[in-house]
Amino acid sequence: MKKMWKIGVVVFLLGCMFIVGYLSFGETGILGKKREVQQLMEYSNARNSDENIYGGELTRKDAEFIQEHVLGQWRISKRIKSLRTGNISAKGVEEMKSLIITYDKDFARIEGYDQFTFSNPKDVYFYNQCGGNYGLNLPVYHVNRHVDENNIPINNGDFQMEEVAFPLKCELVYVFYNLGYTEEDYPSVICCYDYAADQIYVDPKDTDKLYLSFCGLWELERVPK
Amino acid sequence: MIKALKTVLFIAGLCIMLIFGNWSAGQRYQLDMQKEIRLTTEYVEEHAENWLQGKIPKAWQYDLTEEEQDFLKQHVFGTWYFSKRIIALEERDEGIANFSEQGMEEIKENIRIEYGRYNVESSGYTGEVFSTTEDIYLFAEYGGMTSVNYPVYHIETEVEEERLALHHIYIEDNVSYAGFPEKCELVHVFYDLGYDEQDNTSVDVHYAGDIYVNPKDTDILYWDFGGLWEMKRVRN
Repeated sequence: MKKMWKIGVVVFLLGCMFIVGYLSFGETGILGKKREVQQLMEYSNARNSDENIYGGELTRKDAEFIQEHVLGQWRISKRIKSLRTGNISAKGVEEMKSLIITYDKDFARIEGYDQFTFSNPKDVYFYNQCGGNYGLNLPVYHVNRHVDENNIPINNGDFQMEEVAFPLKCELVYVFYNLGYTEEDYPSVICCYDYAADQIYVDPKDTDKLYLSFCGLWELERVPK
Repeated sequence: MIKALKTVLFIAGLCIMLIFGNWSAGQRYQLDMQKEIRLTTEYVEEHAENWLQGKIPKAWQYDLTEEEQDFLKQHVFGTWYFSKRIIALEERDEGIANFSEQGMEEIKENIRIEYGRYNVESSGYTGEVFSTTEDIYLFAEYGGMTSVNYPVYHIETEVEEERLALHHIYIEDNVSYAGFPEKCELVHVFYDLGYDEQDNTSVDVHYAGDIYVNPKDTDILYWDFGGLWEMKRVRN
């Protein structure tokens, strides 16, 4: 009887260790992320009309990079570079900190913007000119690892482009998204020249910060889940 | 000695079961991942035919008879200016839905809309036009900054003049209803992109594509733009 009891306890403990081993794999979280990478890569590439014109196709490595460094929600922390003209005011910079930018494989948009966000009409104008009030459905993502950190092009709210030097010392990766086709060739909506927050610079060493070209150069911080 | 050996064997057994459990989970994950890849590829193959890959035609006369095309040329194509707002939207607690009096004057003075076979666009909008944040915001939200390339026009002759559907940014489904204030039979002309925008890469923005036409007057139309506006033709 005692022996049977001992065998039962041993079997029970072995079974518990099996379950602990199984659960500790954390397969649900990993599978979800792998699924996201797979879908991001396949959908983006299928929607990309001509990689020579609209940006290259994503490799699995690119998709993993975007999944890890870009997808998710972000909040504006500060403007790190302003332009010579067409800037959002200092007060507007503070008012933009209430906005949340979401990058997803199925959409990209800025949330929280309404008619009470800004107090200065010029800030509303520049914000809209830079595409802040437009989202994109089913964006086609691209990755460019050849970045000249001393000449980052930024559009201002007055239809002018400036090239600025990145103020921090780090190597950047440029991630951007678009429609995957040129609007002039298809029935399409044209609004200014930028979409919501579509020009992103990534420090590969930091998954919780991004830099956004949007009427100036901005630092974004990841919103924790 | 035997007891020590038994203890070691027991601990080894626990470690082996831990590893075995982990390995089993990994095997199941591999199978699930292969299934995910297969499902994703099937989804892409099924939808790629519909996605914009050069398959959407530039079809401005899409779905229109010759008579309807002539109707558009006579009543809609051309450049228009804002004459007056004839229906205001219902105000809500969420925000200001209508342009201010000053905003309306600024629109009338500066903004022109051009409807054409190949595009619809507004002109005259700059950073100096509007004086208030609310009016600039509304102008963009109602589609004033947005142009449409290769609009696909449609014509609807059955119009319920007592219940026109107007775009409202603060109402659920973005639609409010109002009666046309004058007695006349209207024709509803509207444009879209000719494809399901939710199922294709597209800009998520409203583009003010609803126009009401009085068939007896080629120099006036009514545009749904933050209320209903009477528009008059710009004569060269």
